[in-house]
Amino acid sequence: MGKRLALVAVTLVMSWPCTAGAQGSDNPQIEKGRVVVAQACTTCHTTLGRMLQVHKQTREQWRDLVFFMISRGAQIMPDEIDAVTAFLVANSGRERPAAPSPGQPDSKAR
Amino acid sequence: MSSPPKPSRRDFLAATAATGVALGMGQVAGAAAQQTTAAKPDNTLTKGEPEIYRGTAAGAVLAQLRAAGVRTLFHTNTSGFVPLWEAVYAAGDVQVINMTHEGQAVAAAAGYTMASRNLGFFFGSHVGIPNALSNTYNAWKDRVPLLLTYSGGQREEGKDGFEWWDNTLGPTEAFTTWRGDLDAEDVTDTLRLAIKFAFGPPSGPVTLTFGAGGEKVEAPIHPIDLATMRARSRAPADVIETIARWLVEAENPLFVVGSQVGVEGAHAEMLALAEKLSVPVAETMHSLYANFPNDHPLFVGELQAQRYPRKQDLLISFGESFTAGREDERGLTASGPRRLVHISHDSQALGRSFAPDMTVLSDVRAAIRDLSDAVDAIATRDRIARIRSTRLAQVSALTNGLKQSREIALRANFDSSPVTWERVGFELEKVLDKDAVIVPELGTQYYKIYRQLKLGGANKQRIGRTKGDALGWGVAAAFGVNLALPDRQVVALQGDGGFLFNQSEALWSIARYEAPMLIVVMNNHSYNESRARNMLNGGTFYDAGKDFNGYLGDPNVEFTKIAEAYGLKGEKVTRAADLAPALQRCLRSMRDGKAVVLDVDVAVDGAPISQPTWYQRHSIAEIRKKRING
Repeated sequence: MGKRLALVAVTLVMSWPCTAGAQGSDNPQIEKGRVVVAQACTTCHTTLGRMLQVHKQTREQWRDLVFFMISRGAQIMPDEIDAVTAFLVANSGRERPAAPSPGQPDSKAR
Repeated sequence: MSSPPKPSRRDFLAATAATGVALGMGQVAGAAAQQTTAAKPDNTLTKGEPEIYRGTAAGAVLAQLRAAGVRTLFHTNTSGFVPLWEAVYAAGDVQVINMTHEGQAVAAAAGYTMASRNLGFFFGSHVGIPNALSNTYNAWKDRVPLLLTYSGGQREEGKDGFEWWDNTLGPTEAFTTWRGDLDAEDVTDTLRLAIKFAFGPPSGPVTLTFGAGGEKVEAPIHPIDLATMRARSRAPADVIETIARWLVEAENPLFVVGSQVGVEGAHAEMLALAEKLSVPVAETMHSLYANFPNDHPLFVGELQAQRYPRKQDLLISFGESFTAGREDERGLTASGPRRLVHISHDSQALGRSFAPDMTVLSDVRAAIRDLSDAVDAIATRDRIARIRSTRLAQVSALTNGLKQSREIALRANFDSSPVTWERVGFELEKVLDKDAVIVPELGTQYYKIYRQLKLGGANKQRIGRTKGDALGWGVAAAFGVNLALPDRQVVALQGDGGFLFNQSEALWSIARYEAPMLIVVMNNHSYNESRARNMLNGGTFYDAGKDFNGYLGDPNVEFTKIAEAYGLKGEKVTRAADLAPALQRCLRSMRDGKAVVLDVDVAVDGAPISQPTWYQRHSIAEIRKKRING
């Protein structure tokens, strides 16, 4: 089961279309990042495709998350850090960090 | 498996014992309780025959424990153990450690046992069994040999009596290797059987009902060497030879080191075998001990995270009891077709969570030695040297690169506040003794600290996190470790959420017994682990930025004041720059013999949510319609 999930995750990432307006799928840095993500991230994150759809983050946030995962044990080499970040930004980036919405009914909740 | 009832003689003895006078209970009996006398006064006993103890049943229990080298007992308050207390008093060389909660007492006994390889012994009230269950479960998952004895159990069943349920030890059945009754009639025979079952394999907790213990007995006391209690096994030579051949021929082998390497103390053998052929070494996410030096060039981290080598063709697990579930399973299946060899001294762990190509029932130390010898017999020295040097260059390139990446990650937010987990590990590594012992109870972010600490081999040791993962274990377990290792620095690494799982009680014993520990509370004011997992794949609550159970910051617990309430020292750190000086103050306090609770504001990890401090608010004060005393 785990093996099947991992294969699905790798396939998803390998076939993931790079977002238009980002640097483009022919960007070698992003392509390098795509390969590293498929090898290094999907060993644990079997739902990576879904995670990328959900967690839109800024470049700085993605970069910190890459650092976090390296400390956490992800096998990413020094010369791959920028590439992985570039791939994540290209596919799940946002300009500004998500902020609490003041218009939401529960915004006064602590 | 409980012993069958033996009513007549026991009832008679119990009834007469209750009178106290007839059987000589009280100070006199207590003082006599420790006497063991040779069965034959002419000293003709052959070597290994038991001495005969004459005194109370409780005294016999203590005499047998002492004959096994047990000098530390754990206890939680109850009546009903007067004969045992009297025996302890008379013995003069037995320390009873009082804990204020049965669950914490079991965790302390487990920590003590894991650090000392002795036998953890607890006595308390049977009505405390439910309290003890959570950490009994943890000890069972960790395969820790414990004897957990409970008073009561001598009443008629089915009458819903005071503090009573039928089948007293029934609730412990899932978490024990054996259950029995310390009946006066054969009290030390049962105790020795219980010890045998506790050490297995599989090893684990044994629960026993233990009556008042005031009955007069004549009981055999056998010398017991706990180091030889676990049943031994050794693999057939042809099996070892086959594995050795696979190992020599493999291009990309991987070793997984498991808890049994630690239990057997086979670290040196494991290191030597890995170095012989430069085989990379991984550990599982649920690894119970630091079984391999994590600063060694062959150490490649967690199994499920392995990216290299791309095509492993042989995986040999030495004494790991794999946890069925995502992480271990992924690690075992991620690298495609390969041979899997599972070596374990516990037959019940072999192939339980996956199907190996070869299962080997053997003491791990013996298997490592046999395998090393078989490799020497199969391959020439030149061939071994060639494999070693070629592969060492490859693996070192990997581990050096990963080390550089970790350094970059450490420095990226080095001065950030709240403090990064990496920074906490970095500062601890700078100040702790080389042989300090770390007892963690953290979520999966633990690795950010571990990889900044030098653990395993001749470096610091790690005990835990418990493989059971039931929160409420770490502080008491660390206290037990400190009892076993009084000359070592002991550091409990706790999450704030985990600490709030009934752990402040352990501070009472830490203060009472002056355990100069450091308890670091990694305080991110949240159940970060469960939040991150709940939010991982999005959904309604992620979209709304709301987490129903994750936020702990209201009320914002002042852990330093909890420490001070127990007479301990408290230190609070909110800025990275303050961590190093605070640690120096902690060390001074530890040197002076007083434990410290160090509360560090640490970063929340994982993808951020838009309303991180939201929770489902409810105020009884607001909704009440009547003001009490108002």
